[in-house]
Amino acid sequence: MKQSQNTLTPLTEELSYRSLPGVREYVVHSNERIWTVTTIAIVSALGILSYTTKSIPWAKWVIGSIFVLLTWIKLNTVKEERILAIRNVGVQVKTIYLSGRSISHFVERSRICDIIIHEAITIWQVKFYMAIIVVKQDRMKVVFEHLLPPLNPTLITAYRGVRSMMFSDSDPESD
Amino acid sequence: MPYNICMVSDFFYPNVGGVESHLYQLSQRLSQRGHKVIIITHAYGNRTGVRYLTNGLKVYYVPTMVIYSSATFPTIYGFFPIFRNIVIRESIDIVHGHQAFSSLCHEAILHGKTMGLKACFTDHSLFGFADASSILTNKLLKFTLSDIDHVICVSHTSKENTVLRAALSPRHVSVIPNAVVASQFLPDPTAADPNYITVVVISRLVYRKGMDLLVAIIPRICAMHPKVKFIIGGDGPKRIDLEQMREKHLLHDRVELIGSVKHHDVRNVLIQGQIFLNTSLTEAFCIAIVEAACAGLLVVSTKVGGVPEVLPRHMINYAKPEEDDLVIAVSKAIHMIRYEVPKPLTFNEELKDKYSWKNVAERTEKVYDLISYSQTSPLIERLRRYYGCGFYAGKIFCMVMALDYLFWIFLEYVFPREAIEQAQPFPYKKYQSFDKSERYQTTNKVKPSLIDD
Repeated sequence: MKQSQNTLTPLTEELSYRSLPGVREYVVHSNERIWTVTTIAIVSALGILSYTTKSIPWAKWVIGSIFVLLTWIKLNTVKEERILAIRNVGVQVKTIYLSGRSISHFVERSRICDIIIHEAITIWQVKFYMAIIVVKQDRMKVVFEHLLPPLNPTLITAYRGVRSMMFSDSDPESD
Repeated sequence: MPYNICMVSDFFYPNVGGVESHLYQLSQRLSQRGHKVIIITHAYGNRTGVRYLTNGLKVYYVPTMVIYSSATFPTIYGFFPIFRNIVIRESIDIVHGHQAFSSLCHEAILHGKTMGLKACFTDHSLFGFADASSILTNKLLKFTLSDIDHVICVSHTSKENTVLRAALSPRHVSVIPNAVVASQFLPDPTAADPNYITVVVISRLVYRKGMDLLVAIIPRICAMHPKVKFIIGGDGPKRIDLEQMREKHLLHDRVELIGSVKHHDVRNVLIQGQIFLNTSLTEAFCIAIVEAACAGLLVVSTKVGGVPEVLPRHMINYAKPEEDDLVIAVSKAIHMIRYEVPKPLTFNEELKDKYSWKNVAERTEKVYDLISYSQTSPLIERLRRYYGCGFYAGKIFCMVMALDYLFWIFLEYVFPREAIEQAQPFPYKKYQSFDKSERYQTTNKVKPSLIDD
């Protein structure tokens, strides 16, 4: 049964997908928000501190730098990561941050060598990741690079969906 | 019942050598018997991460710092988080470490025991007791082997050596010799030069392998027997001595130095000769002489270490590691070849069944059966064992081990077990049946996925 509407269908807590004929997009969300309890607590603490420590000369530098650090962390937190696969056109990988800023990277169909799932050793752990091998490039393009979702069912569903878009003529079964 | 085994060693592919091929062959045979085997080793240059070798053998190349000749820098606790992660995701039951020189092996055994797994150790070399490096290595070995379930040695001499070094009870040590793939070393009687009797030497050209003895005996033998040639393969610091000897006695046409020989070329070098000469000063189990005998050569060797246990009497001539005795033994071998006393072409048949990897894997599996039925000792018992290592050393070892335990509790709290995702088992059966079926399709069709649901 094909899903043709352009709505975001949730599959699991993290993954949802959108499909049209010849097009598939998989979206992985994280549960990050701008204003969480800790953020509100820190900001109000900073606000209170800036009044109580008015006399100390270096206090405003410390408070200022903590505030800058907090903003920088919030700006670089990833809200969503998407992969959009269009048959015979290519694959686009997009990262959306909390501030609304998004970075996207497109690889055209003729330059895609393969789409793989492999394991990588980081300092603490071994993680699964999905990647696109691009022709004549040393580095692969890692999909869901910051969120690194688990293998079942997120990566496998996205992997199968994108591969069937790119490398076969039939659409993936709707999950 | 199938086990999940983790082999740990510093020495593995792409390094080539005895330990490496032992690991590879043993892992292949064990996985053919139905167990799951993974290998953990350190990263070689750019080669880091997870790689798959033949038949789906999974190798983890863990990025660590290498200090000397492929041995890692021993940060005792630095390896723990990644090791724990790998062991949990692959559901490992048994940790099997190889080679006393490998610090990764010692660390893995320590952490494996702390986590409650069974551990096993295989030693591939002999050690002295007198010089500084031996004393330190022996103490370290005592530390690792205080708390281990079983030890495997490659010969009875090696067993005596290990038992003395690490003060173990001999009941906990098994002897499982190395093996050779006999079909890779088939003899070829037509390849040798019929006008000469050729003596082949293939080894690393280092002091330990008796190169000084070789330098001394070659001129004497060449003087005594005019129709004898030498082929010397391999490379190392003593090559200069051999070349100087060649210059001094003007033996350029009688002695050939072919440089380092790759493992797949060894057979082609061996079949050019009729005699194989091994002059090692110490050897736990010399696999080179087994390879030479399989290839149809008569072996002459120094009677050291585990060498007397390896070959039957009619295939080998022994000598003391002295110049005169070696000259006598080589002369005797030359006479035997000239009067065609031994039948070297039959050696391969005889050795094929005696030294097979299938046999080694069966015996290793029996060791695993033995250790999996033993019970895990409680923490106090482990501390007691480490304490008995020595007056000062015991206390230090206990501290190291206790800190390791605390670190483990910390890791269990910070990186909980449930959060670690299990690895996908490699579909061996699918891979093997796929290999034999029709040829691999090209890119426009969907490639068969290696991931099952």
